[in-house]
Amino acid sequence: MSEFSPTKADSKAFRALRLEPGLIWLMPGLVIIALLFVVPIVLIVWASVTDPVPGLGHYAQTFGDPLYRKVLINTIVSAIGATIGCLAIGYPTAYAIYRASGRLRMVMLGIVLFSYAVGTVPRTFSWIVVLGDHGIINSLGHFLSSDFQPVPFLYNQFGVLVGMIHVLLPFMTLLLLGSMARVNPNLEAAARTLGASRTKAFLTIFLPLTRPGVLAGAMLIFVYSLGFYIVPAVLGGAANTTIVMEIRDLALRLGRWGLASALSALIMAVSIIGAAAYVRVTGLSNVYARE
Amino acid sequence: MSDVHDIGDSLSIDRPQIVEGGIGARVRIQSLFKDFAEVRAVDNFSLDVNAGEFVSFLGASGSGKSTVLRIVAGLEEPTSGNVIIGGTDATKLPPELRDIGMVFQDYALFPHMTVAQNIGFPLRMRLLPGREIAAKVESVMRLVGIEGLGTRKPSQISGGQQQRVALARAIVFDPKLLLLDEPLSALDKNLREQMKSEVKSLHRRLGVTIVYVTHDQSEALALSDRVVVMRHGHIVDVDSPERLYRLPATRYIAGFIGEANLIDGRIERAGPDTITVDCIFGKWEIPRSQVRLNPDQISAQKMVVIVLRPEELLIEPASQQPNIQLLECTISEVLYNGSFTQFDLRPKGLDIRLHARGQLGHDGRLGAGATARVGLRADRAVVVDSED
Repeated sequence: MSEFSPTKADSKAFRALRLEPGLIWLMPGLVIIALLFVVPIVLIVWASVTDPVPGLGHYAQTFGDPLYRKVLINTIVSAIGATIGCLAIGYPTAYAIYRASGRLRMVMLGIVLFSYAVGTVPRTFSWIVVLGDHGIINSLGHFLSSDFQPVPFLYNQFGVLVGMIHVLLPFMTLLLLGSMARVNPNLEAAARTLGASRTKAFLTIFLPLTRPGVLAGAMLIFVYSLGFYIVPAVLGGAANTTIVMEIRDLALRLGRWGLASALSALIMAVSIIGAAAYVRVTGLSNVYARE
Repeated sequence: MSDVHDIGDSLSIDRPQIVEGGIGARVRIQSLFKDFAEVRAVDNFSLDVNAGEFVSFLGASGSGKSTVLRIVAGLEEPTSGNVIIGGTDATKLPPELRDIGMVFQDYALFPHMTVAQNIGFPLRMRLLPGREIAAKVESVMRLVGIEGLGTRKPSQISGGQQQRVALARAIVFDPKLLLLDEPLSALDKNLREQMKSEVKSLHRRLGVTIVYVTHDQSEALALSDRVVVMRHGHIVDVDSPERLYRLPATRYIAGFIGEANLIDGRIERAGPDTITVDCIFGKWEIPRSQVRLNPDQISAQKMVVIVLRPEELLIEPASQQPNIQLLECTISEVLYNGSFTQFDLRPKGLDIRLHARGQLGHDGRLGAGATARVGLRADRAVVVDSED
């Protein structure tokens, strides 16, 4: 017994144990990701080069055919527009909530959370009531002047952007607010006493400190926007077909699974490039960084 | 820093230089009020701070001391009243135009900038050329003892070093007024003691006017030319540290600054040079100079409180001295404190407790439960109103 070194054996046993629980707890997540994420992606990529005949024909068609090129461009333009719109509206909104105090802050935050809780579908359809030819705004114009011609707000790029920004805005606002809440409110005050105007203090202190939140928000909104289906389907016109709408059409209406798969693989690649660019610029840890 | 005289510098080290009316700004605060939703945070606060003076605002939390400081800085707007800095009415001036340095309790260092960038920030805001900024930053870092840390981020240096960076950033642009909001409260005790001396010598070297907010009476007493004691948003008293301690104006100040034995009494007779106070220890004759009552309040039957500091109670006095009243006391507790020992006492036959400060007897006879002769120095007693 005494010849045997218990500490050595213990440490060996512990080392083995320490490794295993980690793996065990990871298993459910790994299985789900493998079954529901990795396998389908592989199947899609596989289908895109084999269905109905092997080869890269679908990809050639995707880039060669003006229709698909336009759909791809539509999708990316909408996503960029929605991202910029969300930043332009969301940042001032979040800043106002950050600066407000007490009751006002609670009310403002409550409105954002409430709109976040209402689903995409009712919020999208509600725009028809507001912006449609017989909607509130056009009715008001008609009421004011009988010669009034309804403004075509909907079934075009404008309608799509309004809907997408509306749906994504609460998400963006909360993300930005999270990064703003980590900024010590004394920093701007300190900058003021040191000679910075309100604007200078904002630009040199607050904005740089919320940059990780801006980048994280923009990346998430952009990637999320690429997959939008309901909003462009309801508020967009025939010219605003997005890639997801096209995929659905190809797969379910025309039964062209191979081409649909190729488009899916492409949009996934764009998403992954977006995410990778973000990580490259900020580093993953910055999403959670406390500074 | 370029006009430092090389020869004079080394000679003046041990020569105390008190800069009176030096480069500091004069500050005049006139009838300041500040109301938040339901509370009056500042209640008719008026104060003149002399050029180059070191003034502390001392008060418990919620006494309004920080609010007054933030109003002087321009970070808070007063409900009414004026702030005049260096002869100009700054009441409506934004903080960036007031030319004041401020150190925050949490230092408020910019986390995305290096130490050197933090210190250079006020100079960049003043559009100084880069070469000049670098030179000034370098020299101020040497002044506060953080040379070599310029390229670090605030998160990479210790709390004491962060404190010095905050101080350096607040003085690098030679402001005429320096506002310090509890700057030492986040430091541990030893470092705090050291920084106390450094702040004081910095004040002497710069000649800047300093307004210092603290809840720590020892900081206020040690550093200030004058201390403003605040309570519920108003000024209780403004005086030199020594007078606040030796001759407290009110019962509140006596209890708030240092420790005090508070003995209830009643004026029996008011003479021309002394008044006679009847208290539990008999009739005490106290010089008028130690009576902190308005002259019109000094009349027979007036209820008062006698303030006697613990060190004016002598444990086992060596010999009979005039003006000392001897009492037989039971020692109820002995608290050894290093440089002194605190004795909790119960005078025999009297319903009162007293605290004394003295030295622990080497024979171990002065333990809890023992009896000791205690001398009360009635000539050191101060008389204040029985009400706050």
